[in-house]
Amino acid sequence: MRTSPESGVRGPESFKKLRSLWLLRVLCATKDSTQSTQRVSVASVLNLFPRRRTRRGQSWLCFGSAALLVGLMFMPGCGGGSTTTTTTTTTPPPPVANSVTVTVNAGPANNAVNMAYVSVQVCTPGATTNCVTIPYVQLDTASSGLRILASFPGVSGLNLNQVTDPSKHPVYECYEFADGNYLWGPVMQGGVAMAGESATNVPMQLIEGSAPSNTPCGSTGGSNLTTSTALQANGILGIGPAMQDCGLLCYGTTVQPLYWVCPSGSACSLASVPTATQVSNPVAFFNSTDTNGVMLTMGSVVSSGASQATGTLYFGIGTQTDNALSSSAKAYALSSDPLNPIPYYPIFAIYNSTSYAASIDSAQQYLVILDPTTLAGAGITSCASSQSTYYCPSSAVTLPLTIKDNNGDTATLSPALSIGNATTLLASSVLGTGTNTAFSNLAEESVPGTDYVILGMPFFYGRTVYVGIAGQAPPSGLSATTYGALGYWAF
Amino acid sequence: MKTTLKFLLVLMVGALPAWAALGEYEGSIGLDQQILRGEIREEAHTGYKLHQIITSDGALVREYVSPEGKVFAISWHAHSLPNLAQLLGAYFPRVQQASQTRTQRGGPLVIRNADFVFFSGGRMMDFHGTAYLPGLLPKNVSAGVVR
Repeated sequence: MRTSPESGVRGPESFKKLRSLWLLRVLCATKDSTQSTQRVSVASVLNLFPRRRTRRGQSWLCFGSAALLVGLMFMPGCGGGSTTTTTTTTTPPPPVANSVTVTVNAGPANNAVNMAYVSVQVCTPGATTNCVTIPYVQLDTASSGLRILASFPGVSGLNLNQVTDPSKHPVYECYEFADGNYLWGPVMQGGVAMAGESATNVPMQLIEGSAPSNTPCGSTGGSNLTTSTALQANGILGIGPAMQDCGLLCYGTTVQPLYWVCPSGSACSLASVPTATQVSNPVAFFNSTDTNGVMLTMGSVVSSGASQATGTLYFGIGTQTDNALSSSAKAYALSSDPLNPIPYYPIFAIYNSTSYAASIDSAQQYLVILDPTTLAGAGITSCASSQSTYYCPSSAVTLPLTIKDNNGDTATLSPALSIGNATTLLASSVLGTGTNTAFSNLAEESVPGTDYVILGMPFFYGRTVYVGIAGQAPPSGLSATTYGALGYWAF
Repeated sequence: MKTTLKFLLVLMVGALPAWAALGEYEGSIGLDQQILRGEIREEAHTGYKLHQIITSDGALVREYVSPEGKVFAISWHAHSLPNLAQLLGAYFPRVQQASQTRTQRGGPLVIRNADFVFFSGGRMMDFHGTAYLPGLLPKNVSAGVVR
């Protein structure tokens, strides 16, 4: 089992020890992240071929041969975009309607820019018949799990199942944002349905109340985003590469401060929660073959912005004829380091021959691109503002970037990113005096001293982006050991 | 023992508002270490001293100390936000105010005052940020060292 480092121990030895413990933890999380029991023995670390996950009717296919078999069964034409039908001796299951419309507009409170919304049905546990349709749920390619406003009409009548600790105390989650605001509320299990896809028992978070002061959420200085005005949405749908929002880091003797129980009112203590009941990516729970990720296609947006943008979210990658991994798409395997087993910056962007940590995050309204010093030669300057870090070049600047992973995958980003004048663009938005809500060229700088790149919502317009879920079988052509371990992005 | 002495000293001097670190004397770092339950490592750099605290849950907090013995900057890289009230002390209310008056969600929180500069970025499981006091930067040390 994992142990805490002895208090008072100093020096590099203990640092190394800490890192090795993390590494052990990472290995276990990677190999075994969906199991409800923690297995940290050497045997489990060496167990490279975990058991079939019968609960969800899915298997962890570790080798390309198995993935290829699935590909051949369910993907006529084998992914190259071909429409040629092949003769097989296996009868494929009837196709499930696997796509929903994605809309970028001003949102439920008329105050949103570059936020992509879908509708999600949340249902009574165990069935998908008694459901509430929740519009304006923000699509987030960099987090995992569904989080909805508890106050949304009808949600309270669904009788969602409260997740509890072994002592039957309700489990709450503290999910923070960098600006100090947060999502606090109970972890519940219920049904989720989108298009023809459905799952009967998905752990999700309800957002309600305010965080007790002895939890990290209660001491950040921010507020719980319990209204559609504050959240700029009725919920968030995390369809990122991780299965859960915490994994084995929240199960065991030393856990991250996400899950809490508050047995006596506001006095809360950290909870160890098995991965099976942690807030999880609903896609992996769908009762179909479309559980290995998503494909998101967004329409283009002109450089001056648009009042609306639309797109389509497809469930599954290479599992049906409409979600094949395009032959022109490059897949990037996510990488991690021992201190960041659920990494937010798991790939890299190369600018001017230097490689920077990078992420693909549809929930960021801006492109986050390095800092003004690094970009000095590109003619990209900051806006004059003390409370923002937006870029304001006098005329639009095209920024050449190359994307790469730790697996040798590398490609020049095409089309290249464009950076416009944020002040001018925002003036034309619903936040200014105009009606625009979609911008393909809004950008801001990263935290000084830690140059990084986040390909936020502007990046998605005019592209197709795939998000492969960790531990699920990638489509044929992608090695399960390389791309299935921590998941992948492809575009 | 040394930490306990520092703790007592701080209590006796009474110069520190609660457990503040940023802008306070080096001794307050011991308190941060206690509150954060971390291991601490010291490094000497040209013009300043760096204390690195790694907590039992994997957070890295750095505190930058001037030759005069004052904490002029902090930075963090952690799965969850560090206890900013603890690390920022007297400057924390400015972060609170900026946080609560924010209307757009998602991006980093930025404060650029003449006497206090603050950035908080990243997302759950991978947060990072910096805060420094321009007025306390040691001679010949730029804010660029804070990372």
